[in-house]
Amino acid sequence: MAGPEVKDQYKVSPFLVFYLVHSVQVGVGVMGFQRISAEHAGNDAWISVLAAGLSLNVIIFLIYKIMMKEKGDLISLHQNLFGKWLGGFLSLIAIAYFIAMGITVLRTYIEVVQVWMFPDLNKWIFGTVFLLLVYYCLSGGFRVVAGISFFGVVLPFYLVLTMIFPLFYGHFRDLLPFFNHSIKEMYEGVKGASLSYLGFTTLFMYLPFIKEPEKSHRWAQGGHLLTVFIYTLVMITTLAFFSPEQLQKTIWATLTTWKIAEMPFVQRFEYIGIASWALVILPNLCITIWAGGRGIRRLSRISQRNVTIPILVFVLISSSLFARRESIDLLNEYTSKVGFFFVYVYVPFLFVVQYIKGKVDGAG
Amino acid sequence: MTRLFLFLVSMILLTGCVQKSILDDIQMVTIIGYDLPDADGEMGQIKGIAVSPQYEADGRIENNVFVQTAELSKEIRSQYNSESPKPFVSGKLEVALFSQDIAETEGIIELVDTLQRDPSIGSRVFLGISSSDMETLLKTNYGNVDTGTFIHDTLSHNSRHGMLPETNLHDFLYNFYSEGNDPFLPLVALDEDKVKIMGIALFKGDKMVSSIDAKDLFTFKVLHQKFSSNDSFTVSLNDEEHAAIYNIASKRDLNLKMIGSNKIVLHGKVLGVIKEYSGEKLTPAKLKEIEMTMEKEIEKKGSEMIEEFQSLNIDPLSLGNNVRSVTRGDFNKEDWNKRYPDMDITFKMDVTITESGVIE
Repeated sequence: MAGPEVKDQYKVSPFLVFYLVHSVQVGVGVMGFQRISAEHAGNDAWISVLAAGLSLNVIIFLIYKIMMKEKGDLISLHQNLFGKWLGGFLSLIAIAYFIAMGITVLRTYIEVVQVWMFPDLNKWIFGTVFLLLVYYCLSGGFRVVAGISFFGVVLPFYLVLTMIFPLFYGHFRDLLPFFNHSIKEMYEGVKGASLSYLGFTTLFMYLPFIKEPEKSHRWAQGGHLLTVFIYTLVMITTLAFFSPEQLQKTIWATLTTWKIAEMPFVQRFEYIGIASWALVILPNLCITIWAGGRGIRRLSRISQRNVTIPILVFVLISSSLFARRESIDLLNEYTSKVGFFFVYVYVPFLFVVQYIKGKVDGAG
Repeated sequence: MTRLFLFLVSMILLTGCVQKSILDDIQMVTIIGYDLPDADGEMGQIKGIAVSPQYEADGRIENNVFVQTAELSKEIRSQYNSESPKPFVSGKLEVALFSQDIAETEGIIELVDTLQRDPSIGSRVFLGISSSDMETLLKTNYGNVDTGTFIHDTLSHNSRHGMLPETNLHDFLYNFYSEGNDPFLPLVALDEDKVKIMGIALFKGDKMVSSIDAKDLFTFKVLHQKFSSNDSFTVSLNDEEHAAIYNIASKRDLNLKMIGSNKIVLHGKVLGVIKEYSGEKLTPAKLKEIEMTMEKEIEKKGSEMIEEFQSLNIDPLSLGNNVRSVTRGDFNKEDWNKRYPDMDITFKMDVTITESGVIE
């Protein structure tokens, strides 16, 4: 199967990949990834976060190596490597994963709004309205999705500044001594941290929509590095702000640090922060659901426009089915596990298979 | 077009989706106090006293006091609601006080836990211990002010500029959950029509075990943290000569190089200015003498204080956390608790008087 043909008028500039990668990474994870990462790595968790981030630079490099050879997307890659049926099956799993990411993001965000702001918020109504907005973006095609991710990065970027408040209460001695954990503990920390970096595998789906995709490689790496920088900063701040056991009791460490913020015009900063977060969540949902819809369109030749609404309805219904903290946690855990496997095992595996197949075909 | 229409319609409909809280229709609690119930109360119950200001049209502020007894502090809230014309909200809470009885017998972590669990309560809320009767303290009228803000401001300016070390909800929880710290909170009492800071209450876990008197707070703060304040320290050379040292900046250095042989050296450095002197002439020799006397006095007090901490096995100076930060491998809290009381902790003081005012 040949790669998809995308008309030039639907393509976007390579630099937008910076925003596409960064915005899909920063989502609900950053609100509380610290606890998971620090559970094993303790005060060295920031090193784990940094290491996890840098290791993913290699994975992004591999994705580009694969895609530059394939000149298509994940669907055509699967078909070329594994044939129509097995390849199609693997594509279906990938599509399910993309949509599951969307469900996770939406449900977790609604949970945060319910816990922190409005306990009596109706998740159906909120979900419907939010997904209407997503539909509005998606119906404009990929160019609008890319535009939304640009705004999803730039507009809420001021939130990085809120990390200044906890710095005044930082106990930086808590970070010492460095490297005081075993390799195994550090690895567990890397595993916990890598979960919040996931989502950039959507690159597999939208690369055909980038003009001169090879030029976008450095933008993708750059977008990812910005995420690494922000996460490391947030992690260091969190470790200095909380004592270890206190952090383990805090579900949303980033939001809890906002409780210390004091401004003359607002008593509780979380209300502004969480509301701004809707802008961070929007591109997340748009990109993942777009990637899912795009996958279905490529597999089945149903137009993406027709498939978007059923996906959105599915996302709304399934995200509303998770009602309790534990089930939402479980949902997060499973999408994370699949994502971890996807980037660290499956992407290198694809690379190797493609390499071998290239050799075999070349020889034959 | 239909899409846009749908979107706009749902936006309008959404505004009615969550419960509104209009400022005039709610009871904003600014201070809450917890005490053990009076003798006839049941076991395991707590008495909660909430004060909520009511702003009258003519500029008067009236403090409404609600007293209830229940088993859970949130249960107390629903009981408040049953006797109040407006619903209670806790988003404006400024201070939470605990009676000394409760802090000494039951511990306060369960009560503090409800405060940290509530997302509408900020981390900057002041916690404090009251040695006076809670109900009297909170029912007292402190002038045309809201009681919560009044007590909050008293604590706030004293910890920002005065001798009180900084404490708030977050600091308490940080120290409580930390491996090498023990929390402390300001100790207040009713003094006729004022709330007076009596010192600080020292905790072991969540139970109050001892306290430090207000006059020794300077020494404690030198031992505890780096700071600068507007308070002064009085040195008496003899019966007639006194000097008031106005503290500019203070710093503490911990020397942990000899921790292997259980030795810690705590070095305090104070930069000060003389503000008041009752003797005749302030010669350089006199200055030296004042410095020496002050050093000796703080050293003596500080060493006594450290000894008391060791005998109680509490660590409000976060020495444990500092030791942890230079310990490779696992820092074992139990081991540390065994080592700590017998540790040889030396306190050295270094006072430098930089100026003696505008008069020579």
